[in-house]
Amino acid sequence: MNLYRGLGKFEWGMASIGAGLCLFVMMMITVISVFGRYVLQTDLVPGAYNIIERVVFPLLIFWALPLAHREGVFPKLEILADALPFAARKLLALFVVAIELAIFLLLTWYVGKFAWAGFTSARTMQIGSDYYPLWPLLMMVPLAFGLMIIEMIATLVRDGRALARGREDDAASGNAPTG
Amino acid sequence: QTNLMISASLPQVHFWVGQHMDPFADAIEAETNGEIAFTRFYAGELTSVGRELDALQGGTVAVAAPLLAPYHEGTFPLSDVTQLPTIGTNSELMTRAFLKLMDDDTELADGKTFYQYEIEPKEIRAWPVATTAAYAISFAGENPDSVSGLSGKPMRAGSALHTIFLNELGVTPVTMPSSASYEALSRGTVEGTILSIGDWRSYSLQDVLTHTITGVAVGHWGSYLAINNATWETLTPEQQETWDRVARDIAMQNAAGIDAQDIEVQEEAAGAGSVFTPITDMSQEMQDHIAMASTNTWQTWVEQTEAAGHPGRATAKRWAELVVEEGGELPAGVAEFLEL
Amino acid sequence: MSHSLALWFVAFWFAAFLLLGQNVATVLFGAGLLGMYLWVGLQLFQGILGQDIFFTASSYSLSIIPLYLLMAQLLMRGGLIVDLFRVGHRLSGYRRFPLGVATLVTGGMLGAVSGSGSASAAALATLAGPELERVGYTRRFAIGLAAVAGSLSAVIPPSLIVIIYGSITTVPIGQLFIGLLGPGLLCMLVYVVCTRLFGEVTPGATEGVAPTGPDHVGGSSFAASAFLVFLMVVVFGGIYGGVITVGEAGAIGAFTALVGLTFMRRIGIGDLAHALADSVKITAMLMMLVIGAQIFARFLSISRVPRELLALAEPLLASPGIIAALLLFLLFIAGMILESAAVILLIVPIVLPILQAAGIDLLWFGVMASFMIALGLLTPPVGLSAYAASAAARYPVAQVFRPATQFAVVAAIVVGGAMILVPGLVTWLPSHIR
Ligand code: NA
Ligand code: NA
Repeated sequence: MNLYRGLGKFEWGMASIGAGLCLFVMMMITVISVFGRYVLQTDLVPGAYNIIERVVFPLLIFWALPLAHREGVFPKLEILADALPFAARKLLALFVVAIELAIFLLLTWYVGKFAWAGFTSARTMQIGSDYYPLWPLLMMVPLAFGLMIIEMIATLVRDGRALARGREDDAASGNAPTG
Repeated sequence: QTNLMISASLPQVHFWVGQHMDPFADAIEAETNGEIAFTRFYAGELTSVGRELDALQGGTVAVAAPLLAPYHEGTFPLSDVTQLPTIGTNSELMTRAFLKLMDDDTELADGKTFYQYEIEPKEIRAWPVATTAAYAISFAGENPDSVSGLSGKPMRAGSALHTIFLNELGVTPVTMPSSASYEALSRGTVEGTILSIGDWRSYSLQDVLTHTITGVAVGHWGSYLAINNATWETLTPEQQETWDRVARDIAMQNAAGIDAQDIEVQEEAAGAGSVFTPITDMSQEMQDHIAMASTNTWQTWVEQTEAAGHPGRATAKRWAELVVEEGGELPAGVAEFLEL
Repeated sequence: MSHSLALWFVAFWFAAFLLLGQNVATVLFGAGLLGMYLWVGLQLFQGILGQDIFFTASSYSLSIIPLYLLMAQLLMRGGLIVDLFRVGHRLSGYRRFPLGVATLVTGGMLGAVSGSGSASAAALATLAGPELERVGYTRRFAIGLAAVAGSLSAVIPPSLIVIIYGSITTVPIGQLFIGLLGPGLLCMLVYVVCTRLFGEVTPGATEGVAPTGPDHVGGSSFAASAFLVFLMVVVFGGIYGGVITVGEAGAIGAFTALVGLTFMRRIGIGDLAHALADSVKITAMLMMLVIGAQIFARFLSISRVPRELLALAEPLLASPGIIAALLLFLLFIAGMILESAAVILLIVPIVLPILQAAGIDLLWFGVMASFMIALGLLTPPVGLSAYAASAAARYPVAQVFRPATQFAVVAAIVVGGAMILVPGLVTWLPSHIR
């Protein structure tokens, strides 16, 4: 499972370094803008609103998404699963993740097509009075969903093995290297 | 019988929906005796602002009314031409000019007319909806009557062209959608905005905008009624003919309604204490400054559009001619710059 | 497939996968995709999915969320909550009821600089739980009270639920924050009274005795508490004084917290990194819900369910008070079962046409709705504040739900009723402060 671990490190880097920096940048852009407006009476970050809305915030989300998914931050109802015996619980988990995988394969297909169309049609975004290519940002959506799909497949394999052995498969624990 | 999904990203209270999309759909349904019927979606239920073209091309909807061209971030580069500053123009005048521009057979670039350059490659058919009324310069607080009073003031810009104009004016442009401008104006994030007065109602801006300079138009926003080609080809020639005629009629009706609403909202706001000052009553310094900013905006837009590889100069020139033909005025120096 | 059969199918899918424990966001995606497919067919996906997913994430008003999360995370990591509670602890004279009140006030003050109710509940359970027990409250009540105090983060503005409501209805978020202040303070008062009425005491317990060991309230604790008050002034003063927008207040609040705590040597670069990482992960999770809800909402629009509901509600449109009360009850129930962001994202788009047709003030309704949903943090089966407090204290959550639900029900009746009968409680402040 070295590849899987490596992927975890990559996701951790994307979220903690990439997305974390985005949040820091977002804070600083706003602080500098307000400072410029009230103290210097000038716009220190032209197009700040567009930069946050179109660039920094989407990057933050799609970079943080795979790790948030891997670490199980997503809310769900766990009442039924908790009440079931081991084998039934694992079967249920397999079924639920398999459906989730199908949904995300479909979504990824369409977000991939959308990103590709954005690239071929040279779709642009507006920042201040200028236009910039949008496709590098659009590409982040299929990237994030693709990583989530790999995670789902890994979960399926893990749950399948656990079901076959009749106990949890500790060796392939899905936690990111940093915990 | 054909049933078409027609979609507005704006709510029914907006003049491009209540006074355009609905009357258009009603008229088509009536004139075709129900052979064409519409399932109507409003307020972004099915399409969101600035993504109408995706929905048309993807086949999610058959008709977008309106297709908000200015929000399509660079996709309709020449359509911004209606946002260039003019003098003494209203919606009816500009809508006539815009209809003419869409029908115009002047070749702008590569042997293509405005329609062929701007609309055809998108695999849609389009007609103008009425342009907005004149975009006015409004402030939350006193009108500055000197260049130094204006300098550095944070003002909301709604489009790339506004940003150019505000830069030329020497204020600080802050880009945000109109829906965010109420909060920003009431908190001083911005101290002014450019918007048509008739549009204030949609965002409750009559409560915050206290002073407005009238008589100079920071352009008129234009948008389209659009149907995707696949759907268009399913219509019979008679239906297509009816559609084309109705689209033009409704655009002009819409324009008359927009002009009336602009006056109505202005009177209402004036009654509530909002102050409207004609540009001609401002100091000479301010008049000259705004005229210079207007002319420079034409120049900068032409340069930027040309630099992006589009026929900005030819478009601006043809537009200027049509505006003058319909009775509008250009800011001093624009005619010389365009070599009219 | 007939449309009514399709609706049943979607509803079944939704309920089934929710119960089976699928991620709520995935349930929303699945039900929305299935619904669109059954209603119209595959051709809808091309024009909707890609753009909805990207552009929903590309939203300025929602970009406020991680900034408020960051501010709260920094304060937690800087240990400010410890000092705040210590000061309250000392001021209460180590007596039972005053310490209960001090716990609630700590939760409320924390709430004024934090937007979601689970982190503060956990911290308070660890910190205040043992002390509340020492002065005589039962373990169950002590942890329950910590959960209640923690949940105030969602009740006292700023609140993430309110940010999401504002972003989907375009009601100015600043106005919503100001409107929530009155009900939030009233709710704290109600909780104080509840503490008096419902307080469970271990028989034979004593109070008024200072804890043994070194007295931990030093100058640093008072300085830290003073800093928190300063931060409240910056954030609230900025918003209420009409100087900066809610988004700017979030950024400036987080920045002020960062600078202040670094200066006080309470956080280092590692804390900042962790605070950033935790904030973006929670943001990604919330945004996934928002995006899933967007896809589901598309199906709802196409199916015209909201409009049919509007037709059903026709006879009630003349009495907006009754509609509001019914919807609040519905929201309270939904808040019991679902995560709070999911509730607002699911229900508001469905009921919006009814609200508009009945002429209900969206500001008033939004504040009430956010409040009722926030109470769901305390109620079973999904009550995140109660879960967080019980997990932190390693105590069965079922026990914690007992007192927590008592408080939530009383607040729902008293504060909810007050907001409906006296709308001014919500609308007066926003109409006087811009
Ligand atoms: Na709060
Ligand atoms: Na609950």
